[in-house]
Amino acid sequence: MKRLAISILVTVLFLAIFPPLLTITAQPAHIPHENPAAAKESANTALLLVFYGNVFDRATYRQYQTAHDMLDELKQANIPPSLQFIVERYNELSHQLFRDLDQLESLLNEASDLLAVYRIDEARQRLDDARSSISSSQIVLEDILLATAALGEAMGMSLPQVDTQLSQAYNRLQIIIQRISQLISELNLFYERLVRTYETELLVELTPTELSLETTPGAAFVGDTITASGRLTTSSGNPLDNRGVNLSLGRRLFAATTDPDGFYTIDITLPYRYVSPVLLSASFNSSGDDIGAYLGSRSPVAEVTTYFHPTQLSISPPPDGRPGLPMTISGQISSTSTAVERVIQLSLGDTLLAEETVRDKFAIPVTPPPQIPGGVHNLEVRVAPNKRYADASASRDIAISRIGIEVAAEVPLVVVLPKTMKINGRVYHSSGPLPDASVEVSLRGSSTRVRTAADGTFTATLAMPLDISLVSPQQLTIAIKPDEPYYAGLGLKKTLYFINAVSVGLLLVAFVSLGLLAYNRARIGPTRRREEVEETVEVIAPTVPISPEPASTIRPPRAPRPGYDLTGISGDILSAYLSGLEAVENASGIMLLPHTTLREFIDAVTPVLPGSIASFAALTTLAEIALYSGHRLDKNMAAQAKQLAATALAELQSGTA
Amino acid sequence: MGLRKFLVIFTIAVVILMAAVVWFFPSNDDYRLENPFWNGTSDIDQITPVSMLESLSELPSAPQGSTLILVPYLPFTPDELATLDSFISEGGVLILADDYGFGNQVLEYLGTGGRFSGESLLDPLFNYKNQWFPRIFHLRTEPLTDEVQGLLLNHSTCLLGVADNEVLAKSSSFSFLDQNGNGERDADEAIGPLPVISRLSLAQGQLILVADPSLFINSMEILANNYALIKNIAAINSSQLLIDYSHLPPSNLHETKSILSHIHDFLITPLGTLLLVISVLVLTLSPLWWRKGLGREIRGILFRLRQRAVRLQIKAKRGRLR
Repeated sequence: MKRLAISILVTVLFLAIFPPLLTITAQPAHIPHENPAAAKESANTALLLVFYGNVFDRATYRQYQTAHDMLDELKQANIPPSLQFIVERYNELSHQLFRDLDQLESLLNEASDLLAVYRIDEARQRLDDARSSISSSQIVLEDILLATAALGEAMGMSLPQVDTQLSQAYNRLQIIIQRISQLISELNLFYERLVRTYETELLVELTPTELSLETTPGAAFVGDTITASGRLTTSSGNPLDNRGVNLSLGRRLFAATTDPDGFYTIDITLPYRYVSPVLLSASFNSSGDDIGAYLGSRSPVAEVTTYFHPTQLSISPPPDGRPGLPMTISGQISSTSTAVERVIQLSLGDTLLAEETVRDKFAIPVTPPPQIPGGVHNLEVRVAPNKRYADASASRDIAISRIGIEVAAEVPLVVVLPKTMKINGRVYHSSGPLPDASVEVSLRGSSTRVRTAADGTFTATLAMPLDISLVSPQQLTIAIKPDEPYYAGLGLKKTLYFINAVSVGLLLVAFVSLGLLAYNRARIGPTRRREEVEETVEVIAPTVPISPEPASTIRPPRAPRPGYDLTGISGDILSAYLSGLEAVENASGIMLLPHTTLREFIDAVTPVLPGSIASFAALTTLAEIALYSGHRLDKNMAAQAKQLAATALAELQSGTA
Repeated sequence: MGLRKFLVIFTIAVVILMAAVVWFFPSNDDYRLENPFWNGTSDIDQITPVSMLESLSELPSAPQGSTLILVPYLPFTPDELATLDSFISEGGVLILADDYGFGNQVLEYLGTGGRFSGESLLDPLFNYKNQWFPRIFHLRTEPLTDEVQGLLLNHSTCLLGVADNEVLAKSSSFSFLDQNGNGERDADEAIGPLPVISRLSLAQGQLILVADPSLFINSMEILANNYALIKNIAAINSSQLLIDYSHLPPSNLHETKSILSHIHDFLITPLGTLLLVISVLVLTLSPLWWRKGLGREIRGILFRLRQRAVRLQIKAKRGRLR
């Protein structure tokens, strides 16, 4: 049994250990992921300097917007908390520097363009602004140099042993910042050249010019054509012929050329922009041989009154809507004429619901999308412009919601297994029953699906088989999904208690049995248990003669004993036992048969020789130890055995009681 | 005898206790919906209802409107590859999220040019905590990246061979592909920006490649804007979001749970319940039988057998004494 138990344990352990070895080898070689909450912090600060080097490098190539964008990416970088403030400040300074440089270049370029056409006053303004930008850039760059040193120190540049990567990145950054400084110097030189140009141009006497502008008619409908005309002359009234005149109407540009008398004329179509008035202006810029001779000029701004038919739109949508359920949006388009057809678009959020052509009053059916989520949505109605008729729009908030439903279900609180459960219920909404809705009833892994009848009722049947639990709470789920998108779905959960009658009964039987057994054992007590053992022995070992042979009985012949090789300490003990055995056999008449154990023999002779057998019993114990036990034998035990044999002989001979 | 009995009872009790622990302990397998721990995907269920597939044969026959998330950590059979092909061809959306698995087997079968690199993408500057968590902020504006300002990956890889117009997300210019696994950028290792998410249309369906399935696990879903990406994935199709379990290697816990589940399923059948009842009756009533009648006879036979064995031992030892 012991071996059997050990075998079972070993088998279980084997089965427990071996399969994991197989499954482990099936895993991917790389770690697929680690717990981010437990991940170690490790930031590479040298790369921060490399990154700044890349940013400033872009700026040296005058790609200021790219430099700005790269700095914004730094928000995603892993920056140690100790460097957070310095990095934020560094970024602010860098952004400032790039803005100043960008602005400086723009100003200088504009000044250059203006000086090229002798618009000296405007150029002067640009040059003054550029001067400020140069000063600002130089100050910011000095701050950046100091901040770079501080950043390097914070990263450990001042330590005796500096990481090579960090050192290289820092040096590179400093070199690139020096290039920024050179860039500012170049821009400063450019500024000084422009200033010299300005001063030179100031000395030049240029002939002023005058430009006039008028429109015919002064007012017109959008889309109509007007004629813009005027004259270009010198301040002394001499016409300038064959000169280009630029006209601008809002963002639209037109070009005309003066005739030999300095007049110009051009037809301009008014755009379909429903604002009034629109402003028209003309300008003359020196070019070619006129540079250095004539000053440019601008005409006064001419106002052109534009006419159009304004449009009013009023709408009357319903206050709420349902997904998938049509609703009507009504309204009216008002304008000077109702005979004109207008295109109207209706949108709910980003979804275009309808586009139609209407006049005056309208009533357009629209259907909110079935999948639209519930909530407040903006309904927008737009009327497109139509030539002289302006556009219009109106919007309202509409609450989109689904119609709520309810369910009344008859669900028992306690269920005794096994059982086929029938669940009856009714699905309805505020206005009445909900027919043909899908009802799914789920319980403990099994589910069934039914549909509601015309009156909204349903009956679902679930078969509940046996299981091994005794009493267990289970959750019944009823999910209702109407087919119409304008009804809301509904989920209902109820807790039932299952009582497994068979398991409960068996458990009671088991407990009762164990209780009876325990009671029985307690009542019998130790005496009865010993009697049972003796009875058992009596039943099982009938071959051992219990009763001594009467004196007249012929003793059975002694079975020949095998010749033992009695050597050593165990031999001494067994020799002593054999001598005692012979005496006991003679005294009791009971023979130790080949199939009888020593213990059985002593049990058999004890009733026959009570009181004379104590020494022999002890001698029997020693013999058993010598024969069967792994106990180490010593000479004392041999001596003890001899003593016990002698004592036993003496007891038997004297018949000591 | 007492010791033996104790060992047997103790063993049975331990086995029952362990079975109960295994039964009730929540799953801790990667990517499983029933796993509430950091490496599970139970939080996706909060965003949208998800159905689990234990086999690709459970894919809907009409896949229009269905989106399947596939994490291929086990190889595919030819039948499974054909099933995936027809799923996409007939209008399904397949999100193949892989880093170090068998995603390329699928891509080869589908005949696309894109592949998963299979090597680690590290970003030593733009990261979360360390370079194994690269931040992704180069995103193309389109519905899948709506409201996504940035993503965070976890031990990811990158995509190779995808066309520029298919790429939806790229790593930073400081990222690199650690081809030799030493955690440092070597001269011959590719540097970023490297594509990590791409989308292409195949027949009537779509194939979306994601170079890191860890985006979907609970601990990553709450970081950066990973949640927004998952929401957008769920919104691709309104009807069904599916997750395939059949290519996730089961852990010992999962396998043991499966075994216990099979045992439970057998025990709740009539035959199983009957056998259990008989076993309980035998175990609880055997002490009574043991003392009287048949039990005594059996005990007598066993005792005589034991005595015979002892006698044989004695004979053997006596023989050795000669």
